[in-house]
Amino acid sequence: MGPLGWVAIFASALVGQWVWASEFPFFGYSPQLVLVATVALAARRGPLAAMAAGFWGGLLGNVGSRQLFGIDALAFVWIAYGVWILSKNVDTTRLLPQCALTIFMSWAYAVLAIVAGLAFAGAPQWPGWAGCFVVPLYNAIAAAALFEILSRAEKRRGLR
Amino acid sequence: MLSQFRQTRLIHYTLAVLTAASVVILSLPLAAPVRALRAALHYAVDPMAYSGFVGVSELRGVSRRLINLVDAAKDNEILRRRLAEMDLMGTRLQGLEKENARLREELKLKLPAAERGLWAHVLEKEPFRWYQDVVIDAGETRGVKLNAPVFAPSSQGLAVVGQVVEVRPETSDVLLITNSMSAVAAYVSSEAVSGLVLGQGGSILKMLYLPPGSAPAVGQPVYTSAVSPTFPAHMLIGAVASVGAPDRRYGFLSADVVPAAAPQGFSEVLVLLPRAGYPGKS
Repeated sequence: MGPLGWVAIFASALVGQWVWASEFPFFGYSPQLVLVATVALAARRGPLAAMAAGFWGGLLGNVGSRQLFGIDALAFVWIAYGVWILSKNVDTTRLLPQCALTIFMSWAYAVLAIVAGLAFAGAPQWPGWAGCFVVPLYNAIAAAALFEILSRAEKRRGLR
Repeated sequence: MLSQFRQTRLIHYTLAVLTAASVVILSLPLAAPVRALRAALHYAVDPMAYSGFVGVSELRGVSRRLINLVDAAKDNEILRRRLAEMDLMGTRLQGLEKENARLREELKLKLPAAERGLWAHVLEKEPFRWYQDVVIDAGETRGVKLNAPVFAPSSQGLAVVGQVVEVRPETSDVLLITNSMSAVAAYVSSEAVSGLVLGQGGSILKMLYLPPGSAPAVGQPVYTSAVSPTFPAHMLIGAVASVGAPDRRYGFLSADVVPAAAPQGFSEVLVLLPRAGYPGKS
């Protein structure tokens, strides 16, 4: 997948996240598609591109949300970095480790949101216990779907 | 290609820069540069969000249209069934109209006080006995008697068809007037010209014993005579088709008569039965 492909994935993730959250929330929650895309990009292309994409994706994602402006940018930069650190010990290019990594990073995001909320807004950005368990699960499912899409795209590209 | 060390250092620098930028943005949300950045991002994001929601509403429209299509298919099925029911009702209506016409004919018939009519359906018409007899779906249980006269609707009203010759519990055999065994005392137009109508085993009847010198005209109706032991008087049999030459020995005339109720023309018949308490004619 080339840079333009990743731009398309992040743009789709952004739009999909807004539409999903407002139109089709499952039990009041929706997956964090930009986070999923950041993890996938970090696992496949390394941390530099993922940190940059996560930063801008986070900022764009926060523009239309009620969250603190910049909180997702900070979180996704660190998530991309975290994936890079973990990828030294774990094969993040396979499906199951990537799904597990997505769940782990979703929890890390929740912790970071609480800390950043306390630090910059004076109140934690707590998604609730249900959110802590449901959203990572949704993210893992979305990660599996994205993994499948990317694998097929790469396979097709390889055939050409 | 960057070396591993330089790449790691670059990653850490990038992390530091982007973290610092995020912290600045988070710390100074109301600063002019941050607000400008937010406005610029809004400017970039709004068309994307708008396109996304438009696409979703289009997709929702598709589902609604699909649902409408499914509903239309269901409605179509219901309407088809109703149409089939309407066809059936139309057929029933036609049957009722026929029955109505038949009952009107029955009302025209002035039955003797001692007799009553019983409508029955023709069950069987054997091709090889087309002009001989028919089986009807009324028998002893409905009061059918032997020799009971049988009529059928024709274009000129009720006409003589034959007489019952065998009665079973649920069905009866009717000997048609076209049967060669059949004979009915009859007259042409006025009772002055009377004779005997005999079956020929075909579609034409023969009227014998017409008085010499009488001149029955072609097309004149032929009715049952009052002297008929089986049939009530003045019931239509048919019409004169042609008049033959006088008999060489006795001098009487004969005529061909076309029956008013041809065997192929009826599927229902009226059987005349004696009323309770009255003696029958036959």
